[in-house]
Amino acid sequence: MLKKKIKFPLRYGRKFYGHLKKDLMLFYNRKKYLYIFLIFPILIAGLFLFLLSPTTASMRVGVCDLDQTPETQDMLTDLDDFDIVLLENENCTENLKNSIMEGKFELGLKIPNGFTENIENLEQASLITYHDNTDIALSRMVSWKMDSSLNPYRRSIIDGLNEELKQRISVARQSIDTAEQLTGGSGPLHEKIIEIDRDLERIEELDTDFIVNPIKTDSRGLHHELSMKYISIAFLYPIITLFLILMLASISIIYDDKTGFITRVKTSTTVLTYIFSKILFFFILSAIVFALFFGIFLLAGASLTFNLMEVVKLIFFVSITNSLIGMLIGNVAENEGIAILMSLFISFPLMLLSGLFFPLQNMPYIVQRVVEVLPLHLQIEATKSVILFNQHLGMTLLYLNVPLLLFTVYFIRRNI
Amino acid sequence: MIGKIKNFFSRNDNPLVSKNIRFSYADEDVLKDINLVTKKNKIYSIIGKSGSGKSTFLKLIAGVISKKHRGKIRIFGKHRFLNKNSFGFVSQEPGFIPDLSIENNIKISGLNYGISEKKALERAKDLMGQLKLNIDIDRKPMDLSGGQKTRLGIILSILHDPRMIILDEPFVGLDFKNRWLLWRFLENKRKEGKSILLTSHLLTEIQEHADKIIILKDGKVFFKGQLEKLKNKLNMNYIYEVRFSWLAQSKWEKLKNYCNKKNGVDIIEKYEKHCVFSLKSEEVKKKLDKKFKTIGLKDNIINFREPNLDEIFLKT
Ligand SMILES: Nc1ncnc2c1ncn2[C@@H]1O[C@H](COP(=O)(O)OP(=O)(O)OP(=O)(O)O)[C@@H](O)[C@H]1O
Ligand SMILES: [Mg+2]
Repeated sequence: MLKKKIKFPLRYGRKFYGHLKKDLMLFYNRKKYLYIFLIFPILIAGLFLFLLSPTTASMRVGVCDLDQTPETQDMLTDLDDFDIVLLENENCTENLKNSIMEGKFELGLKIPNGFTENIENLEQASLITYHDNTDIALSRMVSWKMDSSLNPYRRSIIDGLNEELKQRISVARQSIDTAEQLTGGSGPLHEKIIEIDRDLERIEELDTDFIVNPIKTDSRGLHHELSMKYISIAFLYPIITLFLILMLASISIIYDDKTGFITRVKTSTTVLTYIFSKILFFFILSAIVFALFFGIFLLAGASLTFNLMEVVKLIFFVSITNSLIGMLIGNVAENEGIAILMSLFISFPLMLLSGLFFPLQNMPYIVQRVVEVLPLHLQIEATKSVILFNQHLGMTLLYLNVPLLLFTVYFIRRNI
Repeated sequence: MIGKIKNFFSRNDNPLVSKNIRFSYADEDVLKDINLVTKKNKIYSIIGKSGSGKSTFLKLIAGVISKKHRGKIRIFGKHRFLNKNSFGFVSQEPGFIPDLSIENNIKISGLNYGISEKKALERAKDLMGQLKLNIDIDRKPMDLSGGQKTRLGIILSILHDPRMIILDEPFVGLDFKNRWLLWRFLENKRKEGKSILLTSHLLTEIQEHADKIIILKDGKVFFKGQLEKLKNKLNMNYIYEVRFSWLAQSKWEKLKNYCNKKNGVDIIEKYEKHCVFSLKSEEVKKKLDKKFKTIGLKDNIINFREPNLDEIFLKT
């Protein structure tokens, strides 16, 4: 009797171990999956690091200088962020547009006739820039970059103007001094002259910065100690894990079904044992992704402090949700191709709604509320709280998986 | 009521008890009302036309199909989910993990049944000897020939030495020698006290080796028992093959009218002038011969013998 009691857990332990061992061996033996799994996170993390610290290679800008004055040449030499190429004046605008479309320049700049004259007459002068607006990321950045590159030149104009203003005012104040002496130091005329002198003094002391930009906004991130590199890992880790685990979990269910392994499971073990062993398997994979990610970000100079126990909890949370969703996909899809498509179908919108690429705050109220309960969003919030803020992970997140688990067990039992 | 409770608690050691099994994949019932009890230590063979639900029935017993069914299934008196280690199911598809070696397939299958890897390998070696399967276990299962795969599939399903072995068409793809070997293997298992339930289309061999035959028809058990009993049930104790020198349509009509249950004669097959009759007794043969004469048929007897299972099966 006692022997039997000991045997029971041992037998179930072996069944569980058997499933896990099978998945690990299969993963190791099917090299293509293994390599993609290992390379994918490294690739994404590496790319992201490059994107976040752009190189200094300058943009090529084609210029049509229709004004051709010493001032415009000054301005162009001031634009040292760019690689400036001057175009012939003949048909300049057309050539410029074509060259941009052909990819010779990232940006075109046209200085219209009369640009310098306008400035000298203290009238607003304008510049025209051209860019390929089908290149979304570039066109978002280009205008802003041109604007900020022109700032030094703008300032020099204003400074010149200010200088000139000051000189003229100083001459005017000298004349007023003489006038004041003539009034003899009193009377209404004297008062008036003093008043004018004071006004001129205020103009003389006017702040150049005020003229350039009367209101300056200074936005400060609350977590200025965290660099972009550092923050992005909290988004990238769950996103990459979602992609990988959804695909691998759904494919593995289909593999087991197609090869008839499920039949063996059903006649020898229980579906629950099978599902739990899968969850543990994907927990191990998620932990590997985590380690890879951190390795790369640490090499790139990020410094992180976190509680290991919380990280384990986090990985558990991430892996259990994703593997259950993946298994459900594997249940619905007929073959591996459809499983991968369905995984993309689910993970792609989740990725767009993750808040890494587009701000969610601009979306309608309903959408925002929905996004809040989407799995990827929850995972990102959890990752942020653990690895950025070193906080505890609430167990409520894990409870969310209970209905998912019941649903998966029910589905697998019924369908396979 | 008391009887029911008594029944519930009494240890029923029959390998399989199935009562009022009804099952459908979609709308149409594949199994309508199956009642079947098998006894220990016997080889049962289920036969039935293709699509009659043999595989479905076995899968249902083994728990491979988990869609809901009506009725009760007990294996050695227990629900099948609670008694998985008491039977081994050999499905029509061998169910290997193609990317792992045969050795690893054996280990994993053993672990599935809760057996240690070492013991699983030992058992597999033993069974491979019994089934004369000489293969290199470092190879992949998909490298094996069809017959080798079938035998390996059987071995993987009985690593835990179950009390009942359920096999779905285990002879498919085996040559005569290997079929004979497998029958011998199953008979040895029976000697060891195992119970065997299988399906097959090889009626002649079933006739020779199986203890009892179960015929599935229209979703029900049409017959269960020994062959002799079936012959009686079908009025089919003899086969009479006759070739006529000439068989006109009008005479054939007369002969057809004569062949009925009352006269103990049945037509199994007719091909041009060649007819096969089933007869209830030798007595009937004499009467039939007389009838041939009165109709004016000249006959040329080919055969008068006991029927084989194929012929019996044709008649069901
Ligand atoms: N997965 C399934 N889904 C829907 N219908 C099925 C399924 N499997 C079998 N059937 C149908 O159920 C019926 C019984 O099939 P089953 O495989 O049990 O027959 P069988 O007696 O084993 O035939 P065979 O001798 O050809 O193996 C058939 O009509 C078949 O088309
Ligand atoms: Mg079948």
